[in-house]
Amino acid sequence: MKKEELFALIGDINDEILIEAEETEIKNNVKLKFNIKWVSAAAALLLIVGIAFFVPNIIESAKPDIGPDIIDSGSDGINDILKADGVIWDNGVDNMDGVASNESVSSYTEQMNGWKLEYKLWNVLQAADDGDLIAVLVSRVYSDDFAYNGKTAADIKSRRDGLRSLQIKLLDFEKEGEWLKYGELLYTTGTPDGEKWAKSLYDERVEYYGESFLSKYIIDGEVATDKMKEAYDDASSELERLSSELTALYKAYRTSYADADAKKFADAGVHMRTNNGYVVIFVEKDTLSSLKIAEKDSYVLSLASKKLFEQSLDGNTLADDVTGFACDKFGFSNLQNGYGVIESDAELISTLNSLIDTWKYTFDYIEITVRAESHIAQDELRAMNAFQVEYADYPARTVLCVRYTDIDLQALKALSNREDVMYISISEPLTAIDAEQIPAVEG
Amino acid sequence: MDDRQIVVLYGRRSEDAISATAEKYGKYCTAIAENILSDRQDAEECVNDAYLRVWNSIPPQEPHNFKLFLARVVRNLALDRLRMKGRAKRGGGEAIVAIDEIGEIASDIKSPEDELAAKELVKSINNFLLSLSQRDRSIFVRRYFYVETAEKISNEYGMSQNAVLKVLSRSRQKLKKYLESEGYTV
Repeated sequence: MKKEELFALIGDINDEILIEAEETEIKNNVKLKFNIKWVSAAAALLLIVGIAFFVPNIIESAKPDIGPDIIDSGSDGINDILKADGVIWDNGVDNMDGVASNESVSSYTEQMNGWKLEYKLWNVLQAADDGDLIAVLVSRVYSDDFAYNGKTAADIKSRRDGLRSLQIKLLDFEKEGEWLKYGELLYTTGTPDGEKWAKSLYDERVEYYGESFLSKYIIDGEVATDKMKEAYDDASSELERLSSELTALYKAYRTSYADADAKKFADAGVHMRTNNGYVVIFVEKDTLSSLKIAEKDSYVLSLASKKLFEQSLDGNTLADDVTGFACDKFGFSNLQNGYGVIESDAELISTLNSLIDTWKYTFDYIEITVRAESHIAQDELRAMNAFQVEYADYPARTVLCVRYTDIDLQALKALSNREDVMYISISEPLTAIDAEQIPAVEG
Repeated sequence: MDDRQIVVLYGRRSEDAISATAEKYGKYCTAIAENILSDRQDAEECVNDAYLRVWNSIPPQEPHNFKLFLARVVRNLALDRLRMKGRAKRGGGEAIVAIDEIGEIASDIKSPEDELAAKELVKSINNFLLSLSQRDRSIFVRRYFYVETAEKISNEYGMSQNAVLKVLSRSRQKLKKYLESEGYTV
């Protein structure tokens, strides 16, 4: 065998082994940095003493006038911040959990004066001018022992990983089951169609699947394909449920710390707001750099999404009474369930309702992405009750933003049945980050 | 941006997917490509090719671990590019040295006859790696998957370069014996 071939094959080794190697790197990095910390402790102490004399005055004079600090759980007290000029926000939808999972802590963070910063915030800090006020989301690093409804994230992830392994096994067995159903014949005489394995390979595959799996899916010498499909679909449904459980757990975790963290940052003299369990501080880069907060290791800071603070609505369930959509043109896409196709009118409306229900505390609108022979004209966008739009080319793509309360199913149906419309995707806000407002009709 | 969001953007055929990938993993991908190609410009071209490859792969593929999916695409493209350029012209890149090290084992192994046989061989390599200690396994991966230098690995693991080279040499010998016992030798 050529050495290049073997080297290329090493590229296919298991994900778990690769992940472990990356994690080992991080653990060792931490150890090295710890050692370095001791070496530079004296220098750091001198710096802190120096800063202690000067920083309080700097912080005081740098605070722009953005109104009084308000710790609240609604949107009334934040309008001043949302409207303030010079505040730098994330226009996307990052960090929706408001909790830093161990994965994000280890993989996606930069360090600055003891703070763990997500990469986008770090970039913004490098480019920010003096006087720029930056909206920073304070996320708690997830504590492994936090439980919600009797389950920790590790419990949920362990179950999730188990289900994914089962699905992989089922997919593998789809092919190998047709050989393994012959049992010992596979390595003794060979199968009727000439397949013959080494005993060691046979033993290895039997060990991989396990006796209970094999006895469950080989019935009367045949592979129980229907049973396998059912098991695969059941696992998919449970994976969706686990994903929702994990979101709920992170929300509970975030909320459990929100008040205490809000007070901590308010006591440190920085402007801050809370909303729906999210804690956001508003700081200049120098203020953040010198900010003294206990247990900095417990947090990861990231650029806050303005959408976290925009008014959210209760979902308004859409009635299941419109039919005649061109369903074959529809697809859905959302962070909970990935993407997929729509097969019936009822499924389309149910998907819309599910989308609204999932995101109602975060957004008040959905995105409808239309691929057509040309962009959708503005008067047609108004007919769809869209309030903002983003256009892209290659091919012509129009991303309409429509508030939950304004979704007009009849207009959506009419759009889907247009001959020049090729594809319509519905999703929570994700793409239209540079959307422009649709101007009102003159006169 | 969360990896799930990036995959969703690819699924939706949004051009933002590529910029999000570049923003989050640009450095990571370039490091892998540069380890293999030992040339910054080549590495950057390779990473751009990788973005296009990923764009064409998702959908229909829907990777569970987007970061590793990307790493594999970059690694494969970088190795292809290395092959196209030819060893003689390349000089002594790190990948050439790493491939030569693997050559100790490869020369004794039968070439897999088909894709299924190649998959079986990968499974055997996985099983072998799982039999190593965690440290030795990770050092093997860092060297032969990410193509990192012994110097870099030694810094990360607080070991001497010599110790890293010994671990690698011992692991290669063990792999050779393991594959012999599995019947892969000529």
